[in-house]
Parts: sequence; C-alpha cells; structure tokens
Amino acid sequence: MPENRPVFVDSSPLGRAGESTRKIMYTVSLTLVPALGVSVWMFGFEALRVLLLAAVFCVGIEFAAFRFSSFKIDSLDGSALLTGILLAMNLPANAPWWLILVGSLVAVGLGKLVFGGLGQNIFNPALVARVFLLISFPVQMTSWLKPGAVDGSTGATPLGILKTEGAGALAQTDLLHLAVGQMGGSLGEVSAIALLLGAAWLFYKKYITWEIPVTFMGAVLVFSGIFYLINPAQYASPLFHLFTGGVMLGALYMATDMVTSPLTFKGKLIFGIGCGFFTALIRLFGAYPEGVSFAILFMNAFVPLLDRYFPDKKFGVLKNE
Amino acid sequence: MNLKENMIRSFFTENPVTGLLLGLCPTLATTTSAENGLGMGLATTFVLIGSNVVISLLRKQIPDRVRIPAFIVIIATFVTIVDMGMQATMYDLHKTLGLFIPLIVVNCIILGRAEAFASKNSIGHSFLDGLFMGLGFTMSLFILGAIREVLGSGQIFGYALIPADWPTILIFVLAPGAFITLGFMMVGMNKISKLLEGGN
Amino acid sequence: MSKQESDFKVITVLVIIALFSAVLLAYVNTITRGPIEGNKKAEMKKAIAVVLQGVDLKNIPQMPRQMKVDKSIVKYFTAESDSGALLGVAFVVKGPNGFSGDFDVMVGVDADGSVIDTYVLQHKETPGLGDKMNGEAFKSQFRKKNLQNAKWRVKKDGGDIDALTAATITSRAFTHGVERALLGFEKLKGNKH
Repeated sequence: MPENRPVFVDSSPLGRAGESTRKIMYTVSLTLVPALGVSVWMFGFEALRVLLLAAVFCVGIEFAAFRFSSFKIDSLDGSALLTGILLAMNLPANAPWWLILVGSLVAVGLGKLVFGGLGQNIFNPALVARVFLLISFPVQMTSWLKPGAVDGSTGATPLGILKTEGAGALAQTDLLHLAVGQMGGSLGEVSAIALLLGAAWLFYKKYITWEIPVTFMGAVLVFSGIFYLINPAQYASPLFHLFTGGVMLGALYMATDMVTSPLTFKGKLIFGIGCGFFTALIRLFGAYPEGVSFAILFMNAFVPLLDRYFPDKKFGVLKNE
Repeated sequence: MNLKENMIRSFFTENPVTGLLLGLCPTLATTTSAENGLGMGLATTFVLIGSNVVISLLRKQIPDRVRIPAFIVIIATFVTIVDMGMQATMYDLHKTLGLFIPLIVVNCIILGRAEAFASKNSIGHSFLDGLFMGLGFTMSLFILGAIREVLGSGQIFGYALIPADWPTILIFVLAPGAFITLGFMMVGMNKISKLLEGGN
Repeated sequence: MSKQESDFKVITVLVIIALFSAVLLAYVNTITRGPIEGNKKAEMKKAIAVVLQGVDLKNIPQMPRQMKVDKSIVKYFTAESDSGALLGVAFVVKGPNGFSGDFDVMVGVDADGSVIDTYVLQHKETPGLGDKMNGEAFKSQFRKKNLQNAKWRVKKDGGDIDALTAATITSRAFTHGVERALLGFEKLKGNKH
C-alpha cells in the first residue's frame, strides 16, 4: 500500500530528481581523479601533498567560518572540497604549505564567503585564489616542477618559454607529449587527455553542457590560428595553445562552474567565445604567459548582464507582449 | 555647533574615504605605504584648510554665477603652493606621489566642502571643517597605506618587520590590493560608525 | 536663487581673485625655485657618487652631454683629472623594452672601460620582481665587467649575466642598457684619440 507522503516543490528552476548540490559537487570532484592521477604520476608525492593540503585547508576554513559566524554554511556539501581540489590543480606541485593556506583563505573567504556563500559568488573562487597568488607570489607561482624530476629541479611552462624565448625555442616539443601531460605546469594543467576523460562523464550526466567548452576552445583555436597563419615563425600553433596551460581545465571545469556561468543558451555561447578570445589575446600580446584565469574571471563579471540581455526564448509568451 | 559631534562625523560617519567615497583616485593610487598615505593626506588637508578659509572669507563677495570657477582658482592656487613647497622640502616624497599632488585640484572632497560648507559658514567653522575633514581623509589614507605596506612589503615606515628573503603578499602594493583593503576597511568603519551612532 | 549680480561685478571679482593668486604663486615660486633646483641636482649627484665610487669627482660637469648609441640618446657626465685625463664616465642609459616600458639606469664606467656600479634612476617594473634589479645580488655581477671579459646577454640567451628569478625580460633590458653604456664609452674614447 502506497504511503501518503507530502510533496515539496522548490522554486524554479527545478532540477532533476535526485540531484542535490552535494551529489553534483562530489561527482565533479570524482571526475577529476584521472587528471590528478596524471599529476601524481608526473610530479610524485609532491602533487598528492598539495592536493591534500588544499582540500583540508578549504574545508577547514569553511567549517571554521561556520562555527564562528552567523553564516549558515554546510561545510561538507562538497563545494569547499571541490574548490580545494580545483585550487590545487592551479598550483605548482612544489607549492609551499603557506602558499596553499593563503590560497585557501582567499578562495573560501574572498572568493565565496564575502559574497554570502555558495550560489552568491560572482567569481570562480579557485580562480580568484589563483590570480591573487599569481600576482602576489610570482616567483613561487612561476617556478614549476619539471615532470618526472626527482631532484626537484624547476623550469618554465611551455607557455612561459613561448613568452620569454619565442616560438623558435619550442620547435622540438611534441604535441603528443603535451596532450598526455609531459610538461611543466600546475597540477591540473598538465594532462589534456585525462581532463577530457573526466569531463566526458560530466557531459554524460549532463552536469555540463557543450556550449561553453566548445566555444571556449573554438575561440582559442580560431584566434591563435589567425596569427599562426599570418606568421608561423613568431606565433605558436593553435593546437599548441589548446593543449598547454589551463585551456582544458578552464574550459571544462572552471568556465562551466554552475554558479558563475550564464544560464541561457546565447549567454553561454558569448561567455565561451569571450573566455577564448581573451585567453588568446593575453597569451599572444599580454605580459603574462597564461591568460585562462584572467579571461574567465573577466567574463564572470559579465554573467549577470549576459543572462539579462540574452534570455532564452520563453514558451507561451507573445512577442509583442 | 558641537565640536565632538563634528569630529565623529568627519572621522567616521562622514569620513571622506570610507563614508562618502570621495577622492578615491589618489586614495587608491598613492597609499602604497604608510608614509605616502600620510604625505598625501596632509597635503590634501593643507589645501582643504586653505581653500575653506579663503572661500569662507570671500563668500559674500563671490557672485553666485561664477562661484565654481572662483573656487577652482583658489583651490588650484593652494595646490600649486603645496606642489612647489613639497618639491623644495620633501623631494623624495614628492617624487613618489608625483602626478597626484597636482591632481588634488580635482579631488571632489575639496570642492565638495567649499560648496557645501565653506560658502555658507563663518571662517572659524570653515577652518575647523577643513581641519577635521582633512584629518579624517589623512587617517583613512594612513590606515590604508599602513595595512598595504605591512602586508605587501613587510615593512612599516620603511622599517622591516620580517626578514628580507621572506615573500610578501605583493598584490597589496598593487592596484587590486588597494581595492581589497579599502573594501575591508569600509566594513570596519561602517561597524564603528554604527556603534558611535548608538546602534549596533 | 539670489539676485543677478551685474556683469561688471562678476568680472571684477574673478579678475581680482586670479590676480591675487598669480601674485601669490609668483612669490612662492621665487622662494622655492632655488631649493627645487638644488634637490634635482643633488639626486643626480648622489647617483653619480654611487656609480663612480672611488673616482675623483672634483671636475664633474653640472649638465650632462649627449650622444647616440644604437639609435638611443645617451646622456653622460665625464669625470676628469685636473690635467684633463679621463677618470670615469657616468652614463644615463635607457634599459630598452623592460616589462613595463623603458627605464633609466645610470652606469659608471672607469677609465679602462669596466663597469664600476649601476643605479636605477626611475622605472615602472613589477614590485618584488623586476625592481630587484636595484638589489645588491643582481647589481654586484656587473662590477668590473667590460665588453671584452663578458658576453652581454643573460644566461638564457647564451651570455654571462644571471637573470633575476621570474624577471628575465627586465634583466635582459637592464643588461642591454649597461652594454649601451659600454658601447658609448668605446665611442667616447674613439673620439678622443
């Protein structure tokens, strides 16, 4: 005999049955495992250390904020954990503990809590922390552990080499190596293929949709491709730009963050193109070798406008109304 | 006019920087250290007192139609005096503050006080208004500069607080750090203002 | 709105205020002009004293002379002995294409054409990175180097100069600037003989 249970209906938009914030956050975290595996394979124990510290710090700081303030925060809803993991993926494997602590404080405090917690933040917390650290500690944030280096020797990322020494210095780099992840970089930058693997599951579960990743990568390919065609001796190939740095991580995991990306179809397209365009612009002409984080943060600021001026078609509404 | 009330107003509830949000351009640009903040604040205070007194003195003579040009000429005169005076006596500080000294002319707080207060009140009151508002501005710039110097350079008044090879949070000496610090300062100042007004 | 004042009064008041302000400023200018000039010279003197350490600066000129080294204007002060022998030259050169544009460096060169010391006059390089070019650790490697005993490129480009950590572009510009000063010295010596 069926039970009589009251049915609660939340306000729109209504999610699919069984999908809670908690479940989404933990699923996204799990799909990052292949990419994290590659970083541990490349950088060894150091990568694991950075990952654990970042996760513990982020969850701990949010938990402390919950204890000592009037905020209502569920510090175990997985969002702090995901922020921690994403932060770790933006750090070099040789990041000292205090760098991770400052980063976690900035991510959770300045990136999320000052706006009123999860769902209220305008900017992607992990990226806020990355940019804060990059500007504050340029030395620590630009000396990357070389992959497979047991002696702890550091070097520049392929993009860094491109910026300081020009495209000529990269003549021998193998695109396949870049795609697998055999290069210097932050934990999450290294393996494009592992990131795609994890993201495939998110596509299947419909946690992320194609619009932002495709337009983001497309825009990077198109804009860097135009300059490559003009002068291949000076500019790196578009595929090089796609497989190095944070484009994969940014396009699949950062730009698609549910809270800080547009909700509407056209909004998503413009958001993705904007991210890709600014990434290419900063990489080609900016002072910093890498532009993904700046581009996404910049476009984050436009999300409310995009949602407002490019709404989805509403069914059942007459045009002239 | 109640002196104590006036002071509280200038320093907290209507503090030019954290309460009225006026003159933010020099505030954000020059406060990379406590010394710079203090220097900029005091230079502005001098101009503010001078222009307030002179404008109050001439308030019955200046025709309403041309009051803004007249105010600007008076303010610009005092700014130029400060500019030349600082170059002669504090050359190094003037070099770091650079362009922002002449720009005191267009600092809203000065024309704002001239228009809202000095052109309507007696000389004595205008002098005090200029002094308090100027010191309120100086206080904000000094606190902002001190926080940014400690966090960004690990120093206070050029005196090192940590060993030279320790990394400092560079963002605080750069522009984004100015905005972040100002944001948190405003939170604190609003809280103090509320307490002083008897609220909670 | 109060009554309209006559045009005559409006103009008179403005003119009087402007006149008064002009007189006041002229007066302040006469007082401060001397000290300001003095301060500017003192700063240049201080820099010269640093970069030409150990050189007799008795006959240093007040104003610099100019020449062109690879299309860039280089200013220089020559220190000479009483008999007119060249003791050293302080060059003001541009470090070209730094991280945030060009910057001005003063380079002291001794009579044999080796660097005595360097001094950054003004720059816009990143605090904490590029501005370490004024630090002892970076500056010391330039001392006693000349065009013959060193390759004037950073190590990354196959030269002898250790670049600052994470500030290769600044180091490159600085190195180039110092090299310019040395080339200027060659040119100066060539003219003398």
